[in-house]
Order: sequence, then C-alpha cells, then structure tokens
Amino acid sequence: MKQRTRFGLWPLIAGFSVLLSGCTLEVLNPGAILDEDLNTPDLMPIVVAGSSAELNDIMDGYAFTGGLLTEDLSGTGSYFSTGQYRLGRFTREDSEGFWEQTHEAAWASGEAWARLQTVLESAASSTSDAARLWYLMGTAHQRLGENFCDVVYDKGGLQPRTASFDSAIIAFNQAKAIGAAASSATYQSAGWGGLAQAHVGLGDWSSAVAAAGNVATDFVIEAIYHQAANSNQVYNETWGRAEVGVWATPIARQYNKASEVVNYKSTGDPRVPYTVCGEWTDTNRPPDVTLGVTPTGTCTGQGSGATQGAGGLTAHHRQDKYTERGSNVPTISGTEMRLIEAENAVRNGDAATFIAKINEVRAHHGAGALSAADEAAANSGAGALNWDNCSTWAADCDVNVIDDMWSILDRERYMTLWLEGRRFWDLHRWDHPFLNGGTLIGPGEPRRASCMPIPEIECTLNENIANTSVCTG
Amino acid sequence: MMFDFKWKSAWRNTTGIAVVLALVGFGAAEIAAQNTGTVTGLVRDNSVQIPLSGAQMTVDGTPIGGLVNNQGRYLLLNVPAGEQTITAQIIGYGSQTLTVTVVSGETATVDFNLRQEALSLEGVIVTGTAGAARRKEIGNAISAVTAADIEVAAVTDFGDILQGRTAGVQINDHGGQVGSGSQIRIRGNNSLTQGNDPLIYIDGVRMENGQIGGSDEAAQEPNVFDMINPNDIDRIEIVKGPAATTLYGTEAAGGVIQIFTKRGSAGAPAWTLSVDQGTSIMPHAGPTGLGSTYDERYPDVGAAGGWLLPADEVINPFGLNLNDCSSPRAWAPSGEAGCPESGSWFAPGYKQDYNLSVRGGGETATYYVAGRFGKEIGTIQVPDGYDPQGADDMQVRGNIQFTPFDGLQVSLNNTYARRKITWIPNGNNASGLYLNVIRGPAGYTPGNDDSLVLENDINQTIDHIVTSASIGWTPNNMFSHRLNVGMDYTISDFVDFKAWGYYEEFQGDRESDTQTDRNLTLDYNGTFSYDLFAGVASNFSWGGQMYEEYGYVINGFDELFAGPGEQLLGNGNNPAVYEGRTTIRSGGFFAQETLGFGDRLFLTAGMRWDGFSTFGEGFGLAAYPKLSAAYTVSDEAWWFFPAIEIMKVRAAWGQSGKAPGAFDAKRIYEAISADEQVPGVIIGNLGNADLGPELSTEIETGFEASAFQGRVSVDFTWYNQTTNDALLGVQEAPSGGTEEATLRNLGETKNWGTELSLNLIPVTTENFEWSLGLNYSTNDSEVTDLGPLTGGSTVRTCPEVPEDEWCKTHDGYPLFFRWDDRIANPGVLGELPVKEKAYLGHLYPTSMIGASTRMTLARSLTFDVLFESQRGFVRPIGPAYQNVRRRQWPMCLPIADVWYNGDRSTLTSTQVGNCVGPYADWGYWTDDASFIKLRSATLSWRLPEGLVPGARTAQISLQGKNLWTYAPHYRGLDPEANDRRRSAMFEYYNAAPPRVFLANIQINF
Repeated sequence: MKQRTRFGLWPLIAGFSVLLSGCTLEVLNPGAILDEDLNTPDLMPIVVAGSSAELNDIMDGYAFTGGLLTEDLSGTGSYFSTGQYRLGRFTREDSEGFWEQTHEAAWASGEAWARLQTVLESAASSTSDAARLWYLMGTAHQRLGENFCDVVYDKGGLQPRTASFDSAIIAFNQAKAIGAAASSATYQSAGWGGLAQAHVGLGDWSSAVAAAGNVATDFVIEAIYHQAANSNQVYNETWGRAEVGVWATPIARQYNKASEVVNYKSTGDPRVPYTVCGEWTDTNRPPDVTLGVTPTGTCTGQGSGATQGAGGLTAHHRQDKYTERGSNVPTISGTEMRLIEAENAVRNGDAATFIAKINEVRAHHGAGALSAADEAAANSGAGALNWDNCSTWAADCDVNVIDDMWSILDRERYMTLWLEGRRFWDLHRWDHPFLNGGTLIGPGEPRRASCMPIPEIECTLNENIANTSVCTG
Repeated sequence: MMFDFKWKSAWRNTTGIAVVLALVGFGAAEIAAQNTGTVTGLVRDNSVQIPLSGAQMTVDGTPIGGLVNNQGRYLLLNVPAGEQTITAQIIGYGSQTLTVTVVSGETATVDFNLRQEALSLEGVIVTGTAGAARRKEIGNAISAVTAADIEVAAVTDFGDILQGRTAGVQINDHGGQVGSGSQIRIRGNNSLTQGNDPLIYIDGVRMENGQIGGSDEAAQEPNVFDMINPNDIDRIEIVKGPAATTLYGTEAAGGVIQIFTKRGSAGAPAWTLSVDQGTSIMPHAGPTGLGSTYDERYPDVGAAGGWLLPADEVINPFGLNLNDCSSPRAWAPSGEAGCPESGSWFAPGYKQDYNLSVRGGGETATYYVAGRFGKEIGTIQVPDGYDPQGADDMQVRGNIQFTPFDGLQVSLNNTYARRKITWIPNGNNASGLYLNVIRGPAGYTPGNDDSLVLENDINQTIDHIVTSASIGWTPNNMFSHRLNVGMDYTISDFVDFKAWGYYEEFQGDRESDTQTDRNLTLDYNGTFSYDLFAGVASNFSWGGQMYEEYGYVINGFDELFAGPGEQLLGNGNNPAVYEGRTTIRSGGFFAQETLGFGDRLFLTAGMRWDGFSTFGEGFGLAAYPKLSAAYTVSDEAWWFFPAIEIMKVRAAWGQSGKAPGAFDAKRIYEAISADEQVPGVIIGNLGNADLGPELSTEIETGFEASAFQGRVSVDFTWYNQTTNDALLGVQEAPSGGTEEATLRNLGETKNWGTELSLNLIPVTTENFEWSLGLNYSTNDSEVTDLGPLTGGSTVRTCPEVPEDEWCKTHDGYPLFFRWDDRIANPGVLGELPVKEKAYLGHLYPTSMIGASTRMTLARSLTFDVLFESQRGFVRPIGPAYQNVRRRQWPMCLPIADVWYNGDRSTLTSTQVGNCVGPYADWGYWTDDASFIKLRSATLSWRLPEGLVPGARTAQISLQGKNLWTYAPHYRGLDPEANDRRRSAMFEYYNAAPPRVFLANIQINF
C-alpha cells in the first residue's frame, strides 16, 4: 500500500493523454490555395490565366510531336519517342498526355466559367475574361478534333472527331458573342477564326470561308510562353538541346534549301528560318551514316547539342522560328484564314482567287509573290497532291513536285503553319501521300499514323469504350 | 534510457547478488583482511577483443562481485585466499567461469574472453516493444547488429553496417561518387505510392529517413543517416514488419530501425583513438583491351549463347573510354581532348578518418564524448584546377547519463555532424562526365573535350543535429516510466553553378537550394509489472507519442550573368524562386498487455490508435491491433532434445500503416506563373475527405534455436503481409475533365517471404575459433486488387520509379517491376525484331544471401569475410541502349558492322534488336542483375600489450570493401550503378561502387 502512494504518475499519464486527445492535428500548410478562397471578383483574372496555362501546357506539345510526325522537324536526338515518330509510329501510349491535358484545358475553362458566373453573376457574360475562357475552351476542343482519330466526352461512348468540332463551334460562338459584348476585338476575331477552323473540320467550307472573312490577315492569337513560366518546347529541344532539328526535312531539302544557306543562315522563305550549326558531309541516307560533324561556330554556347544532333549521328540544323523560350505559338491567325479561303478556291477550281489569297499570305510574311512557275502551275488546275520518296539525303531533293494548286497549297500551308502543330491534321484530311511513305520511313514500315489513338488510360477508366476496337485493337 | 535501467533491474532480480561496486580509483583500494587477496583482470569480446564494460563478475560461493568498468577491467577485493571460481557474464554473451588461486595479501590476475551468442533469450530488446522486453517474451523476429559486428567489418557508412548482415534487409548500395546515399528496404515493399523507407530512430528520436537535397546534375542523393558515425553506434535493432511495428503506428509499415549510440560507463576516462587511411579503386568499365571479346566477359550471352556476337570478334580496345582516354582512336588520333594527363578518368581515391572518443564517469554520472574528422576523395580523376569529387566529414557527440536519485535516470544525447560533398556532373545529364566520355564522339561536348563538363561546380553542405533527453523512472520493481523528447534537424545547402563562359550555358546559371527537415519527437510510455498468480506474470504497458515533421525548401535559380566570377542569385537576368513549407503532425496512444506463464510462454495483445494531419477530415483515428505469442519450449521439463538447449517458437499478427501525403485529402489549387509571367491558378488536387492510411496486416511465425552449447543457432521466420486500403492515385477517365488523380483507399497488395539466419561455430579452442554465418531471405509481392483499375490494364501509380514509361502497376504482378518491350520473335535469322510489351522482371531482389566467416587466432588475429548476393531482379542498362543507338557500344560494333556493311540476312532478330541503333530498345537492354559481391574482408591484429607505449590495447586492421563482383547476366557497368539511387531503378551512365581498401589503427588508452 505504501508503494502505491508513490505511483503518482497516473495523473501525469492522464494529463498527457488528455493533451494528446485534445490536440488538434489540423495543419494548414502554406502554399496551397483552397477552392473556396478563389471565389472573389479580384481573383477572376488569375483563374482565367490558370485556364490559359492549362492550354499553353499542351499546345507546344502538339507543335513538337506533331512536327516530328509530319517532317516539320526531324528527330535527331536520343529520345526514344522521337525515333519512333520519325518512322511515323504513334501508339496509344504515345497519346497519353495529349488527351488528358487537352481535355483538362477544356474542363478548366468550363470550371472557370462556372466560377465567373458564381462570382460575377450576370456581369460575367460581358467580360473579356469570359470571352477568353470560351476561346480557350474552343481551341482545346478544336485540337482534340484535329489530332485524335476518335473522341469521347464525359466518359461516354465513342464519337467521331467531328463531335469536337461541334463543341468548338459552340465555344467559339460564345467567344465571339461575349467578345462583342465586352468590346474585345481580339476575342471576336478569335471566335471567328476558331469557327473557320471548326467548320473546316466539319467540311462546311461555305461556313468556314464566311467566318474566315471576318478575320484580318494580320490578326494572330497565340498560346503564350515565357522563359520564367512555361517555356516553348520546340525552342527547348532545338536551342537548349539538339534533340530535334530541321536537318533532312522538306524545309532544308526543298522549301528553304540548305544548299542556299549563307553564313550558315537560311536565305530563302522567311517563314521557315533555320541555322546550320554543324556540317555533315555524308550523303548516304540513314542508317548508313558516318560520324564527323564539323562545327560551324554559329551556334556556340547556345545549347548542349549546338553542333550535332543529340543522337550523335547527324548535324544539327536549328529552327529559328522560335528563338526564345518565351516564343509564343500561334493558334489562330489571319494568314491561316487566307489559306482557308485559298483552299476553298482550289476546291472550286478558282485559280485567280487562289493566287491572290496565297500572295496575300506571302506578302504578309515578306516572302514575295508566287513565282511565274508557281502561277503557271496554279493555272494548270487543282491537280493532286504528290510526295516524292527521295532515295538519298541530298539537300536538294525535291520532296514535292509543284505542278498544281494542291501542291502549292500544300507547300504554303506547310511553311505558313510550320511548327504550329497543324500539319498532322492537314495530312489526315487530305489523305496525303506522305502517309504512305515519306523519306524517313524505313523498309517494311506500315502506313504512317495520321491521327492519335485514344490512350490506354481512357480505355482503362471508361467502361463505355473499353471493349471497342479502339481499345482492344 | 529505459534500456539501461531495465537491464540493471533485471540483473538485480535474476541474480539476487549484493552488488559491490569497486570501480573508481583502483589505486585507492586496500586489502581489508589478512586472509584475503585481490583478483583483477580484463573482460573482453573473444573475437574482436572490445572491452565488455558492465559485465557482471561473481566469486562462486561468496557474496563478492562487481561490474566491469569502462576499460574492460574488473577488481574483486577481499577474496578469500585459496582456489576460487570466478564467473563473468553479460547479456548477449555466453558466460565464462575460470579458476584462480588467490594468495593472501596478493593480487591475482585472470582475463576473461566471452563469446558472443547468436541467440540470447535474456537479451533485452527495446524496439517494437512497450518499454523493453527480454527477447524470449517477443513474438516477432528481431535482428540486432552490435558494436562488435561493426568493429570487425569494412564499414564506411551506416548502410555498410546492415548490408548482408541481417536477413530480410536490402541495402540498395550507394554509387561510385563519394557521398551518394543508399536505399534501405526491410522485407521488400508493401506500399505502391507512399514509399517504403523504414522509420529510423536514433536514441529514441525519429530522424530523417530519406534523402536530403540531392543533385540532378550528379544524379545522386545523399542520406542523412549516412552521416551517423559508425564508431558511435553501440547497437542497432531492426523490426521488420507490421506485426512488430504496430506500436509505432502509422508510417511504420516499412519497418523500424533503432540506433543506440554508445554510453559512458563508470571508471576513469577510457580514450580510444582510431585512424583510417585508405584508397578506393574503380573497377574497369567495359572491355579490357585489344583482343578481348564480348564472349569472354559474357560467355552465356555472347557467341556461346549463339545470339549476340560472332565468335572471336575483336572489340573496341578502349573499353568505354573511361579507363583509357589517351590512346589514339579514329575520332581522336592524339587521344581525347580533355583527357587527364594520366590517360584515364579513374585514379585511386584517398580516404582518411580520425576518431577520438572518451568514456567514463562515476557511480551517478557517466559520459561518452566523441569526435570524428574524415576526408575522402573519390576515384574519378579531374584535371588540375578542378575540385576533386569527394566529401569532408565532421561529427561530434556528447552523451551524458546521470542518476539524481535511485530509480531515476536521465540521459542527454547530442550530436552534430557536417558533411560537405563535391559532386561531379554525371548520370542522366547531358552535361555529365560518364555520358560524354562513354559516348565517345557522339557526346555533347564541343570538340569532344569532356573535361569541360567539370566546370560545372556542384557542392552540397549538410548539417545535422540530433538532440534528445530521456528520463526513465522506476519507482519500484513493478512500475517504470520513460519519457523521450528530442529533435532531429537537418539543413542542406546545395549549389549548382555554371559560370559565365560555360560551354553549355554560355552566360552561366546558378541553382541554389536550401532544404530544412525538422523532426520533433515526444514519446512517453509506462509499464506495470505484476504477478497475477503463481507462475503468471502480467506486464501492462501504455503510452503516447507525438511527432511533428516540418520541411522547408527554398529553391533559387538565376542565369544570364553579365560576366565571370562566382555570381549569385540576383546577379543574372532571370531569377526565379520556389518556396515550400510542409508540416505533418501525428499523435497516438497504445496499450499492451503481456501475460507470462512460467517465464516461458508469453502472450501479448496490444492496440494503437493514431491521428494524422494528413488524414481526411471524415476519417478519424486509425486503429492498429496486434497479437503475439512466444514460447520457449526448451524451458519445459519435458523437453527431450538436450542437445538443443534453446528452442523458442513464436507467432505474431499485427497491423501498421502508411499515411497519405500532406495535401492529399484537400481540394487545392496551385499558384503558378502563367502566360507572360502573370499569376494563375490550376487545379492541384481534387481532395478526398475520407482519406485514411494504408493498412498493412502481417502474420509471421518462426522459431529460434540454439544447440551444442551455442555452437549452432538458427532463426527462421515466415511472413505474409496484406496491405488493404492501399492508396492509389485514381483518376476518372480523362474525358470527364481533369487528369488529376485523387488518392483513394482502394487497392490490395500482398508481400511475403522467408528469413533464415544460421550461425555455426565448427571449431572453437582456447586459441582458435572459426565461425560461419548465413543470412538468407526471400521476398515476393503481388498487386492483388486495383479497385476500379483492375482489369489487366497498366496504370501509373508508383512514384518511386519516376520514368513514366516504365512505371506500371498491374494486378497480378509485383509491386515494382519492369514493364517494357521484348523481342517477340527472338533469334529468327533474317528478320527484324518484333516488339511486344511484357513483364521483364522484378525491380527488387527476390532472394538475398549474406554469407560470412570469421576466424580468430590466439585472440589477436581476426579474419572476417562477408559475401552478399542479391538475386532475381532486373535493371535496364541505359549506357548500352543509348550507345547502341549511336553506334558506340563496343560490344555491338561487330553486329553493327554486318548490318551497315555486310549481309543483313545473316543477322538474327535478336542481334538486330540489341545492336542496330534504329531497332534497339530499352527492354532489350534490361538484364537479370543478379550478383554476388565480396562486400567486406577484414584482417585485424590486436597488438601485444606494451607494444604501443601508454596504450591499454591497440589493434591494426586491413579492410577491403566491394572487392569482387560476379554478375554473369548483366551487361552494364555494375548492377548497383543506379541513377538517383533512392528513386530510380536503372543504370544511366553512373559510377559503380568502387573497391575500397583501408588500413586502421585503433589505440585504447
């Protein structure tokens, strides 16, 4: 009994237990922003900027990967995927990221629009922020339609890609209307331009041309990049590294020939500028390559692969369209509108309009008017697309025979929209002969991919498509 | 600490001896009676001869006894003249009894050499128990490594101590750069997403168990626990699974490691000076010279295997350009630019270590104070003018224990350590040394001058402080209490600087990162012991813990400097900064009851309740129960195997958990810099209010046996873990909107294996002993349920393997495995390879063997050897794959020559897939990485007394580490040359662990 009187720790234990049980474990870590804290009018521009960032996050990816699949660029580096894209291979795994991020860009814009309505109520419908959100949403839908073979919304069933264009039209109409209400010429033009793109997707050329006509040639709206925010992937991979280049693309072989380079700078069409960072003399086509790149000195200090491609097997020809990490990527432009009008002219056999529209684009970019030979080719009629599978890597190999309006349009869209992530769509909708065998296709390779398949993650998580051929094939 | 207190209590209880302390001032002792004499001598470990302070000395048939002091010396006064029998005993060692003739008025000397017991059921274990318990009471497997084990091994950091010496513990070894951290796994992996690092405690304080800082440029990450001075460690206890770690609650599912540092002991100051001098040598990388063939190094995959190379092909004589960079070659007729003057990128490293410690004290207070200075220069040679790769270390420790009054013991343990690491750029880094050297002319450096990459200065300084106070109070034999309060604090200062004029970023850039991790521990537990009935003892324990983990990160970056010199952040034209602060708090209680029947059968039931700041608001407390039984059947009267003197069978069932991350439960947005650097917000996490911990349940059973007077001992365990409510990042179908995954408690994983420790002493005589040790373990795992993700699909849920392409979780497969391409049509002549995705193998070993032997001659010469084998796992070989793509992998050049210049129809699909660049694939270069290594070999000689003037004892030893590697199926540099060791599972131009040779002299005075 006497000992028990010494066991006076029981109160201490009880107190400690009370301390533990009563102690809140709630910890509000700094840095995180809670959902409800965003419902303030002053924060709406920040919410919209976030939606813009969601779209920007993927637009340079379309330019980069799309460029590799279409010979806007050539994969000269060590990334496994670039080698596959060079061969025109694109699998469900490769689609991952594009699908999710593009959907998220559209979703984020929708979420932001809902928040705007909650916070600003009826005033939301007359703000440029709202118009911008609808432009962002429309662009996301448009890119889904342009790039994916099939589309799915809201975990539903399989739909043709035209469903995305339908969604884009709804969004761009909103952008146009709210832009007008907000007196924002930018988003009115963006709305019109987006509508033109979407109607092209649907094959509704009269509506496309009608919409395009509302956009001035010098109009451009872009996905925004900044060296300290979200930097341009095409720049990073060609200036910061040398994972891809212009080497052995139609640019260097035909449209802005490497043989006409002066002081290692391209001299031809200003829409497709590049720099020869290293000289490589072997004229055999890969894989019969030999090593031996000579630095030209012009790219010193610009990046780790300044002289040769990061793969170590080719010279590095650096694109000069995006010369900064913060270089923006156009999403809708007036020159594209003129090209839509030109394509409509081709379809109507209207050579005069075609030549005029093309020259308007060329003049805007300082490329000069079409040559007499081009004009003659245009006047010969619409013709048909063609693509030469060059047998060597000779720089002067003409990959495309320019003998009709389609071939000229092909070239002009190629150069005008170069590195903007749009050519993949052109190849698909034109059923371009390049898809059957470009110069970089190896022996025995199947037809090149012309659209992105729905990725594995959607197949896994969406029971409505899991057993369809796009997931089981 | 409770351990000491309990230990002493136990001895009092079990021996019933009236202890006579005669420890201070031997010179003051006097002979008290005319017919008595004095007996003195040393008590030491039979093998490594370290003093066994605290050992109990008794004179049979008398009440005379005493404790061995801090120098290993005992003194027994007033021993009756005549022949006397004296016994020395201490927990963990077999007792020894010797006879001595005592002459009246004189001093007799007799030394004791006790042999360490592999199985000591009376030994007290702290880890995984409430308070402390004898090993015989514990129903789960416990492993321990003692100072004696450390003493005799080639140990340069903490990871070395555990490597191969404990069944079920894997050390994913550190790489060839000095300062690289290792990764610890105990019983494999049971969590897909929340990490599997064990909890680590030092002197009762939870310490940082992960990386600190880390360098993308060097592709290596240091560990804080590697900064613990091995010389300060008294013992390490390892608790291996949820059944044993239940009382540690949430976060303990990966196991627990308790480190106990050395304490003072009564006696005059005992000094120990230890000096190491050594070198390290990098093994040859790649082919060994002209005329060597791939077949010779890889006979089973070369021509003999019939698929890779034509026989007798001469391969690149320069290896991988690392060993020889000066010989003429096609792309560099005068040798490679930037090659060091010696003609090799490798040079012997230099390691020096100086340790000084003192321990002593009186009856009521003891101390242990130690300091260490170390400096190591690595094996990668840098030209003059560059800082060599290496690390400087400094550690100080002061441990004080005092007993203000009987029953109360206070311990104060403090340590400060600093490590300054100079990295070289390496690994998965376009500006890395190995990448550019091995790729030869296909590297990135201008003019192939690879020395340019060394202009990238990468330095990291880590400061580490652990301070703790432990109060133990035992008011009587029934009650005991222990309170631990402590802080573990780590600061990392990391700088990656490329000066103006650097070849890759001409105007230079600078990254400056500061990371602080602070762990606070408040831990109380109490025990009430009472005999319920005759032969039935009750031991009730209770306690509570609170932990706070605070992380603070500032990452700064700037670039485009105006000119040369060491520019700082803010001097450039593009400053950017990131700040992160995270606090995670947890608190819990436990209660446990152990019933002991006849001191041989022990049944334990316990429960722990945990709250955690990262649980969802709707979750509440997590509860973890445990049950265990331990039965020493050999204590029964009916035991019928007299040769087997100890047989304990045990079984345990218990649960533990893993908490979600700091923000996982909340819907949050992240602030970003959008557009033209304007503020924006994007969705960060959708949140889950019901989020709780993963719940790992384990059942384990096994036995411990000792036979033939301790010359054979066996410890066997079988375990099976099931993790329910596994945390999986589940996203809705992306078409529904966001791609953000929400962490949910959905899946189920299983993790199982066996552990066997076997110790044999085939020969033991007075002057020679030979022992053998074997640690064998198996481990396998399977994802058995992926919730809504189940269905044979692969999803990304494993952050430990950051390469998305390879990070797959698939029901029916192990938790971490390699999913990649393989050749669907192997070996078909004239065909191109057809690839198919497939399971290629585990990323963690499925079996491990640690085999050791130790011989001690005349108690002065000890030879200790440890081999380790890890088997049943794969590693992708980045250098091979990437070099093949560039026609720079020497072993593939003959195949490439045929492809480019010969008859392609003579090549098989496998040859083309492996060796022809456009067809090569990561999966084709993913190899079985099973290996055997000679981890440690040590020859120690205890110098004759008097040889070193003024020294009590002195010992010199020669130590070697990683002396030999056998990896017959692996075609890379080394199976352990991992990129970012703690987080990746592939080789990518990383330095292999070097061979280390050390000479040590230790003087005790």
